[in-house]
Amino acid sequence: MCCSFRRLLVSLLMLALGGCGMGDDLLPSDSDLRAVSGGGAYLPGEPVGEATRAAPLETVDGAVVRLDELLNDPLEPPRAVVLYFTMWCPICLAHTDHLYNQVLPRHASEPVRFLVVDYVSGSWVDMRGAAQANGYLGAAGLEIVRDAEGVLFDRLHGAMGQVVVVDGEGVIRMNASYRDGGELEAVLDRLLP
Amino acid sequence: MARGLRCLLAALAFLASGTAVAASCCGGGGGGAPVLPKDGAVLWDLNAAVEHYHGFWAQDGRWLPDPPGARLSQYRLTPGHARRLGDRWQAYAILPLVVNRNHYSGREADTEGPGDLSLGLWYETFDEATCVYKVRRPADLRPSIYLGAGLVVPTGISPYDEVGDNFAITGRGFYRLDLSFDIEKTVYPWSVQLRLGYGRHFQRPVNREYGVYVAPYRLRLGDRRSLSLTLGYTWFLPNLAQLTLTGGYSDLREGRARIDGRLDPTTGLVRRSFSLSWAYSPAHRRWNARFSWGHAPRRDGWGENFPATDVFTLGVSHVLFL
Repeated sequence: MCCSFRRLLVSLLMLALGGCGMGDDLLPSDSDLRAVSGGGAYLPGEPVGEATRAAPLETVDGAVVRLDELLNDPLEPPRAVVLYFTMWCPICLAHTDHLYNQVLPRHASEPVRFLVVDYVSGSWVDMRGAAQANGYLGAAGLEIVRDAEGVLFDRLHGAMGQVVVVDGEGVIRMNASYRDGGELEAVLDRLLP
Repeated sequence: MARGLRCLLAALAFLASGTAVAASCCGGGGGGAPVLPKDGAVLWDLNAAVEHYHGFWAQDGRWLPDPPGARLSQYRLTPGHARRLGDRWQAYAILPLVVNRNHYSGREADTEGPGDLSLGLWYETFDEATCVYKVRRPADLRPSIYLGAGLVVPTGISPYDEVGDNFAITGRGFYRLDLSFDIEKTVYPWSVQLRLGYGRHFQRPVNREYGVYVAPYRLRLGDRRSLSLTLGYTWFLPNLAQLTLTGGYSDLREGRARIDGRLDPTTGLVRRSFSLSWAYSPAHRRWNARFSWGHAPRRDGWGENFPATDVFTLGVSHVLFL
C-alpha cells in the first residue's frame, strides 16, 4: 500500500511536471546511459574539437593562451591538462581548495597542468579580482584563466564544479562534476607515469 | 552556486528556515511551513520573496565577496495550503516557483522553474490554544507544542535532471524527511517560539550531471539540523486588530554528503541568520499579512560553504475557521 501510494504520488507529480521536462529526480535511474549519449566532442574518449583547442583563454595578466598551445608545449609537453570550471561560489572554492591542497601536491612533479577556468567574469581584471579575493592569485601550480568567449563552457558542456581532463593527445578522459575529487585522482593516476 | 547552486541552496535554506512569526496556535503564524491556528480548518497562504546574494562563506568560515560586477538575486512565489485533518492533526503543502535573475560581469542567465515541493503533517499536543493574557495559575504557563513530519519532494530542476548547465537549477534533486519540534508560548503581549528540526536525505542514484551522462554512483546529502528562536511582541490596535513584531535567530547545518558511502570533504554547510517580521491580523483573524527581513551577517564565522543573503518576504494568508 505504501508503494502504491508513493507511485500514485509520483505519477501525479510527473503528470503535473512532465510537461516542463522535469521529473527525472522523482524516480532517479541507476542505468549507465553513457553509451546512448550519441557522442560529441565533450565526452570521455572523444578528441576535443578544433574550436575548443583554439579557444582563447585569458590569464590573470591579460595574456591569451589556447588549449592547443598548452597541449603542444615543446618544452614541457603535458600528459594531461585539467580544466576546472569555476564561478567563484562556495562549492567552487571548496573544490578548488581540495584540488590545490590534496590533488595538486601529489602530482607537482608530473607533466600535468591544472587550470581553473572562470566562465563568469567579463574581463581578466574582474577575474584577477575574484582570484585574489578567493586567495588563488599567484597560487603555485594553479593557473587561473578566463574563458574569454565562452567556447570551453559551451563546447565542453561546462557547468559549475565541472572537471574536464584532456590527455596529451587531445582526447577527453573525464568530463564530470568534481564531487570529492576521487574520479579526478583515478583518471590522473591512469594518465601520469 | 552559479546561480545554479546558489539558487538551489538558497531554496533549501528558505524551505528549511522560513521566517517564523510567533503565536501560530492563536492565528499569528506564517512563513515557512504553514501552521493552522487551533480553531482553523483551512488555510491558504502566499509568500513572495526576493533574496539578494552578498558573497559567501568558505568552508573555513571566511566571508568572501562575490566576483566583481556580480548581482545575484532569486525571486520566489510560494503558494501554500494547510488543512485540518482532525482535532490535533493538520497537513500542509507548499511549492515555490523560483525565478533566478543573476548578472555577472561576463554572463547573464535568467531562468525560472518550480522548486522542491514540501508536504507535511503537524500534530498538536494540546486541545486548546494556550495563548493567555495573564498568568493566573500554573496551567496558564502551558505552552503549545507541535510535532512535525515533512517530506521534501524533488520537483525542482536539479543538477541531475535534463539541464543544459547549472544556471537553470531550482531544486536539489533529493527526497528528504524532516522532523520538527516546535514549542511556543504567548502571554500577551509577548510570544516566544523555539523550533528544532532534523532532516535526513534519502540516498539516490545519479547517472547524469548537468545533462551529461556519467558512470552511475549513489549519492546521499548530509543530514540537516536546524534551530530557530523567535521573540514577538503584539500590539492590539483600537479596532482589535493585532500588529506583531517578531525578532528571530536561526541556525542551519548540513553534514557532509556521501558518494558511494565515502564522505565528500567538499560538502556540508552552516548558515546563521537573523530575522525581523511584522505581521498584521484584523480582529476577525481570517486574514494575516506579513513582511519579513532575513539577514545573514557578512562576517567571518557566521556560515560555512554557503552564500550570505538578505531575504525580503511579503506574505498573506487566509484562514477558514471551524
